[in-house]
Amino acid sequence: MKRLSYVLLAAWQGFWRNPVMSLASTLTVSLMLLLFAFFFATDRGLQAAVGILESKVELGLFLEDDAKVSDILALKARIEADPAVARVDYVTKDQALARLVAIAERRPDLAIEDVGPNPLPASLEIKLARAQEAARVGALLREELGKGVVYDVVDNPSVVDKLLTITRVLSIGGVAVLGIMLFVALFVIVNTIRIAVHARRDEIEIMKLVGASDWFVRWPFILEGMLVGALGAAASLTVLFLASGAVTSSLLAFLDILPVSFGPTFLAELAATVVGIALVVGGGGATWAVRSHLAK
Amino acid sequence: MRHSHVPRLRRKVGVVFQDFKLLPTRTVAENVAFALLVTGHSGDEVREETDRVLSLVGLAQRRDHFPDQLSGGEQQRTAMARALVNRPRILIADEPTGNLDPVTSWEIIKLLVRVNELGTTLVMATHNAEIVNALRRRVVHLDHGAVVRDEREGLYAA
Repeated sequence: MKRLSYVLLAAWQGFWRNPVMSLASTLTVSLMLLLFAFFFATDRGLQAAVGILESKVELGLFLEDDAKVSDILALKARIEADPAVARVDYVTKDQALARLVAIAERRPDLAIEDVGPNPLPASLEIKLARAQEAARVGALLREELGKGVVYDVVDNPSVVDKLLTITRVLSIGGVAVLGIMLFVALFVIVNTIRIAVHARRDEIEIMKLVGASDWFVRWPFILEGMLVGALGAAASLTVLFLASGAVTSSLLAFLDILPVSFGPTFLAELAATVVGIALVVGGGGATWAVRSHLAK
Repeated sequence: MRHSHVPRLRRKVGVVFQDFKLLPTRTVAENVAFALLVTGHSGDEVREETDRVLSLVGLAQRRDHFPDQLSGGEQQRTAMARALVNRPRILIADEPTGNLDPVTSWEIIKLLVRVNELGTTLVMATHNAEIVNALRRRVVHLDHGAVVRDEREGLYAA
């Protein structure tokens, strides 16, 4: 107990012995953590958006009016056999017209006049289980063109493609930026602790002389590093929680059409990850800084 | 010998230096207690042991002074108290009188002899011929790192 209080006190004193340096490294750590939180949240949001959009990816086949029903059903069965396909619905000409009429009734700006013979084609509506394969399935379907059953293929997976591209770019860019920030934060912490070690080199010499264990010498500095990390985490989380209202509403405005939800545990997860990274970076940097000194 | 064993062995060996190596921001008592605290001792034990060695070296009255308020001899006695507080089996004194005037040197030597009489092996490195000749103890003569002479009741020069 006494040992612990000694070590904690030494860490606390170490932090305030050189406040400018300590606060500078705290600031660096909190900036890194803020960036991390930003990428973490954005990535989560985009992934949720991709998930929702993927479930909505649909391909359509417009069918020739004179195609035989047996041919249509055979084609439907073949498409359903594809593992990327979740479901295929056969929409007849009459159903298509009924749908259009139903839509028109809800929309005052549309009116269906008597259209004479039904101009709408029958169609097959294909729901995909794996949106990433939309392009491949689309290409397969295109091969059916001109064989007397299919006269047009409608595929529109470009939104998902774009979102997937954005997600990819953001994760690669995010990892790169975070990597650089991590390096900077580690560098600053290592130097802060080095200075702290240097300031107490006489004390360390005597501690080793009278037989203090290496851990007794090390722990105050490692705790000081973790203190820098923890204060950085506290600062960045404070900023995050203060800004979260504004950020959430602007994110929701950006992803307006999508019912994106981060899930109930998101904030707890984010906070835990931020604190975890902070402690690992602080403690790890300090361990690194002290290691070289104690080897002597 | 494993590196992790070194700290435990060091607790059995007290060391006193020519330049004292006291922490200037701590009082006499704190300098001595430091050696106990950083080896994992606590509470009453620290206070009792600190008081014990401080009276042994005759600094009980000076316990709350800082090193730069002390004379050279008092500083060296503080360093001795710190070296003795862990009850070492051996006390190594590396030129303990090197920075002291002759009178103060004798005070320190008398104290070292007393510690030795109380049962601690004393190894002292010194260039002080007068002290060596007066003590007539075992003398090991080193020359360029090699033992050239080892006498039971030796003098400074053969």
